[in-house]
Amino acid sequence: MSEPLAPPQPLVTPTAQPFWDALAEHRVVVQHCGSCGAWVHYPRVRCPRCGADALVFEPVDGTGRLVSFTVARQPVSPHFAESGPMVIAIVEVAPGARLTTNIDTDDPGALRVGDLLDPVFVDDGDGPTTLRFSPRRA
Amino acid sequence: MGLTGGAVIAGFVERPAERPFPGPRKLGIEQWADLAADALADAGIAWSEVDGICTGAEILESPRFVPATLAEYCGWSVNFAERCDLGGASNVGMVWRAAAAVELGLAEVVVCAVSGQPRPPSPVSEANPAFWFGASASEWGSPQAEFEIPFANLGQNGGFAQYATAYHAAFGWNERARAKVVVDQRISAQDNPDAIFYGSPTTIDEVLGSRMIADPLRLMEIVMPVAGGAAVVVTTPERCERHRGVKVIGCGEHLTHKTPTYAPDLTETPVGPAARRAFAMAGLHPSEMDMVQLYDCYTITALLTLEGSGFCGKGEAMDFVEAHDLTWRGDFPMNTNGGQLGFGQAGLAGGMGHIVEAVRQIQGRAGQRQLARHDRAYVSGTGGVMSEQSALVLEGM
Repeated sequence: MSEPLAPPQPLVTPTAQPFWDALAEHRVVVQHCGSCGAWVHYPRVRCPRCGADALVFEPVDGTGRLVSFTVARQPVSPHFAESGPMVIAIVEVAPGARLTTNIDTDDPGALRVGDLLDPVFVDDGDGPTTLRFSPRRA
Repeated sequence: MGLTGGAVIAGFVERPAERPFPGPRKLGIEQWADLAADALADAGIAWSEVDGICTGAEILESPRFVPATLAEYCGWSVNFAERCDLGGASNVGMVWRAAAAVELGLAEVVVCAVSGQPRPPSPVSEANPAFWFGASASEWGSPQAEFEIPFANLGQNGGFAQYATAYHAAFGWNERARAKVVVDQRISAQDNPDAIFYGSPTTIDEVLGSRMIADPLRLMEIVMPVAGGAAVVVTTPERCERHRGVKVIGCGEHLTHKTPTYAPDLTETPVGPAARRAFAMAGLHPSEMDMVQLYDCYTITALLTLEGSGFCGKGEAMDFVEAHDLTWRGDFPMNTNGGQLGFGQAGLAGGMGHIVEAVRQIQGRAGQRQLARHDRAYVSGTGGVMSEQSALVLEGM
């Protein structure tokens, strides 16, 4: 591998702008279908369950449930060469609405599928605020 | 409805797995033409008889208008031209599309080939910033560029590891069962001089002692990238004279997602509907197969595919692989050439190896690892991260 590259920032699209705007205010919003009631992430113009164009961003409390995860022991690309081992996780933030994220923890061995997680809003001066999670303290 | 056995695989070629590749190096399109020539020679069919092309997503230096490029280069006038963009599931997808074209009467001789050797060094700079993102689209507007790549969710290891975590959380943490897949297939690879792990059997403890790459998957549970390439010829039974014809009697494919985050259920993979359709089309049950050649890019892929294809129940694959001898000598011959875990993975051509081995066995050409019963085979393909899966049922004429 050549010299380290900066971790890529999310390339924000117009449809998803309200999601990123909410994160900047340390809130989480998820699309909800006004036709069939599905919760949808990532943001789309049509509901992937029923096809209706009735998706509306709704606030959720930001609590996550751990669906699955791995610990990437080696950098997946030169962009993450400085990151150390990363927990790459699938987290549910509303019924059926899952997102890809990282989990901030010193003890990934303690993570279990089904764990409840707290949101961590990461303000990065170079790009949009991103949403990570941390294990919920008992 | 469905395939009726009116199309057969008549011949094949498979390059040995090599790492490092000793050369000589050729362009992708040159490799493709060589593979076509060798597969046609094996089938005993003349170059000029080709009237159909099936290829993978790209030919290295020719990513677009691929079939037209190939027809022009090879000098063929074709009536059927297909480029299959299903990752590792492409090879199975190519074969059933070719069989369908033959049964429809669109074409009589279809070459299905995938190259997998490195090219000569290019005289122009080929630096491509998207290179590191692999199958994850890094262009603005792609869901991966916005929601995956920033979180390091790219490449294959992490996604398959997430599948493994979810699977074990649901059904128990028997890691030795995963390791046994590697061990048994390596035993079969000892009877395949073309395999990268020929001469290198292993043990469960060695697999579980190998370096952790993406928890819970370890280095030896992940395919070794090698140079290679493979092709088959699909034609009519009448044109199949040199070897026993291998009828394509069942097929299916199913897709649900690109990134596992959005999979409907991480403990159930798309192969289920694909396999059920393939078996129903063939009028056969999984228990009637003499062998399975299933896509095994990772150990977890093999377990999930065994379950999804109906060889055992959901959550039962760990017990199943421990209860059965998966070697070619065993009671459940699985990936008799060593599979990709034992043979190596020549890029997209890795999936063609499963088809080639099924044909080789059914035609009675498997040499020292020839099965005694070798009339029917189940073959699966997997692309992306359990994103797309495909299934074939093959039967000797």
